[in-house]
Amino acid sequence: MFQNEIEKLTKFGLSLDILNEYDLVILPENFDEAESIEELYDTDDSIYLVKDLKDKNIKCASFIDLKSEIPFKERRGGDIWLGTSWVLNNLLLPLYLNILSNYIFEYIGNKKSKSVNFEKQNVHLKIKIKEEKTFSKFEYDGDSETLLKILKLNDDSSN
Amino acid sequence: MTIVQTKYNNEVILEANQTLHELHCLFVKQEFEFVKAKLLEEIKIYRDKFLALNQVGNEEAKNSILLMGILHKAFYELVEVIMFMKDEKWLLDKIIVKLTWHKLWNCRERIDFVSYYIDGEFINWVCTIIKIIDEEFLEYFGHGKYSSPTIVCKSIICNICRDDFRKCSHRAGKIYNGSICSPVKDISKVEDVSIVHNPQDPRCRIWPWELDENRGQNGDIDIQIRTTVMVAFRLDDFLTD
Repeated sequence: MFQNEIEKLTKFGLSLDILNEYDLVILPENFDEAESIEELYDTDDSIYLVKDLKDKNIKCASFIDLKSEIPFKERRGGDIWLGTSWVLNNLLLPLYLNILSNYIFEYIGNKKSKSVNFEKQNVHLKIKIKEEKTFSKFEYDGDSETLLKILKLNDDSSN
Repeated sequence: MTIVQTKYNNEVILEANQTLHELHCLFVKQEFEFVKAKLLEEIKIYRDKFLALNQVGNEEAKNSILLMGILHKAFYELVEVIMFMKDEKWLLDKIIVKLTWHKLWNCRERIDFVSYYIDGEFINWVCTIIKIIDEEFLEYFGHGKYSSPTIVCKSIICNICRDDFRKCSHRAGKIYNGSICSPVKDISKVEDVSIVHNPQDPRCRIWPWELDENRGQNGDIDIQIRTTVMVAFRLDDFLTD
């Protein structure tokens, strides 16, 4: 039962209780790969995603809420780095995906004076969804428009 | 014609509408030197008004002056760009090309920022001009490549509430009582610099003349790039100019 996830949590000194305390946690993008807490870092888009989720009154936490301060990494490229999301209450999955897709849509499309000079932005994210005895995993590294189409398909099918 | 529309309806906005309308007409008549000088005067007036209000003024007054100061600075930079481009050979002058691109992006960032709060024909008109200039750059220089550093910060503090920016509810680039939320980063290192097509800061463009290619005796190609990696830019720099 979620053996990998439990090992990871305990490795970084986190209690298993978080699985009950929160509906959603946004963890550092290298949470699965990091060998020690010193290697972990937050990314700027994941910070904004957490703010959006909290605004919608979702019981959501980032690593700094759960444990301690970790460094923050800013990549000054146009890609969107959204970290690793653990959806712990799968009833919230449609709302989470909706907020996620709004975030990406706003990011790529809200500029009044949008430039013709740039190509499509890529999105990098991992989503783990807690099910009864396991986590199912979705990992995406690709262009933003395709991801928005996938999220829209999911939204249509859940309505 | 309504030049700018905001949720605020006060003297600052009414006066700005009048001034921008007059300056827009003069711009169309190509009175660029006059428009530039007048905008500089207006920007200074906004700065003085804002600094006088900062301690005691109400939120609406501060926000209105801040927004109008930034909008006038955007217009000022647009006039500068147009004046650079008046010379038919501007595209052949490396310094002018780089400066024009830089100022165009300053202007664009300011317009993107104020357009969150302000609407109206003036904003649309500026966006149309920016787009025309953008297409000229695209036609002449292509999509371009850009340097993009990855920076690691020890901390990131909100300038509005002084808390860790990851914990507070403030949003970068939004106005709170006359201040723009702009998290303060304590940079510990620059981890790497990538070359990308899609940068966060287009001012870090690598221009063709910044590449130096040398072929060594054993046939290896050594490429050296001398370019801008990071730019310090403040939307409200009219307050400190």
